[in-house]
Amino acid sequence: MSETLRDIALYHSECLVEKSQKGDNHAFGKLVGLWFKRIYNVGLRYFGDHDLAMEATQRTFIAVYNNLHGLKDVKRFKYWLYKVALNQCHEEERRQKRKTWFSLFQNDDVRRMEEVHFQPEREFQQKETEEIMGNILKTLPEEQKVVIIMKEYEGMKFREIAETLGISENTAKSRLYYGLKSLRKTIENSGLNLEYI
Amino acid sequence: MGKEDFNQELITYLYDEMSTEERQQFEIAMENNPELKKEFEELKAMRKGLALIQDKEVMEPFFLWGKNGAASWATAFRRRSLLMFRPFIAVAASLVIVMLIGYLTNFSVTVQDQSLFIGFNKVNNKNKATTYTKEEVAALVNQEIARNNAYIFTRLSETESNFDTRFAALETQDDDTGKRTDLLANVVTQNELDVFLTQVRNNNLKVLQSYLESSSVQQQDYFQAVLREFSTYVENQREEDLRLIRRSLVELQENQQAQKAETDQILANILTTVNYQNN
Repeated sequence: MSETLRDIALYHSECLVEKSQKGDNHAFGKLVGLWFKRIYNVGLRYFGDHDLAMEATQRTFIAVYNNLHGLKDVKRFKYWLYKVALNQCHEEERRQKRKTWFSLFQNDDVRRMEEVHFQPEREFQQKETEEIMGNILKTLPEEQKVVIIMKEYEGMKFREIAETLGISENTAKSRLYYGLKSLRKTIENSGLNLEYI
Repeated sequence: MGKEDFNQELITYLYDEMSTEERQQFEIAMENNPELKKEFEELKAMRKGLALIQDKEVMEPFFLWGKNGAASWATAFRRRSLLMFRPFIAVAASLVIVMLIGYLTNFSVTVQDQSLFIGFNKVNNKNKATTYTKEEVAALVNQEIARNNAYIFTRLSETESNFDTRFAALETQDDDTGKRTDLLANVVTQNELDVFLTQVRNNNLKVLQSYLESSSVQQQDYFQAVLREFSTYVENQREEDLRLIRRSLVELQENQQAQKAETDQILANILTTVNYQNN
């Protein structure tokens, strides 16, 4: 019940946005409370890493706070928020790539994925399967991954995705198609049982 | 319709964003095209796989929002920035710890005159190796040899002196001993020697008799104890055998009774059967 009310509130944030634009920090805090989990989960699926997802989420809301006054149409807040979030994810990924040479050790996620592949008996567990799927999703090209996240997990219409990303609906559909095909190919190449999944 | 358009239509159908009319047309097309249907099923299965990734619950960090911009109480950014320096920080911290321990324990490493001194507290240089020249070493060796020779000569002189003294004493002692032996030979006669030997023999005989008597008594006691224990053992064994025989007899009796009861039962059954057949 509470989850339903929360979902309703998510899609009726206009009032809070208007108050925030007028300098109401309390309203902005509520807005953050409403959207924090959604944006965090977008980041989590984008990176497959809690720390990076948290960082991108926090950067997103700081950017929103600093730029909210520039949003003309409050009804477009949701798309604008996702756009900011995806930009922050993209920037964070670039920052991580720059930092890569500092790392003396192998990336944890890669190691974790290898461990999973070399322990087939564990793949029969739900949690591991979820982890495998998360790791495979992470390997997709960014443009395909973003469309899959928007469509599959955020439940956006193709029109909304197109508006958020500034692309045509057909492009969004094509990216989604090739993203799903690529995921399937990766799963097959990894020796996983797609039928089981 | 090109391949690209076809893929887009498939995706639109997969995510249920077609109008009713479009959906019906697409379903008819799919029924006539097994490959299309197979691809649809594959994509549908892929969606099921993606659905396994559930939303994660997360605690919203505490934010402080101000007029000059936003600041997060959670210092995640700084922490992340520090993470990339983590290996260097770890090495530096280890060095600091090692240096601190070294300072607290007064650890020191000193190199002096081609010697390396490693230790805690102040390095003791008392045992420091002294460098000597070849001539100095030769003089030291000669000095030690001279001192050793002097010591040996002294000891030799003392030993010679002792030997002289002892030889003189022994010569004097030999003269006195010869005189005492002659005196003893004159005093003890053959008769007295025979009496002494007889006395010794009698004493030995008495000791032997006493030993044999004592041994005989001990053997008798031991033999009696053995007989008593054997008698007790035989008695116990006999009682045990009797118990066994009694138990065997009882079992035999019980077996006979059981056998008799079984025989009676069999006879009763036969009689019943015969009577039943006759009737």
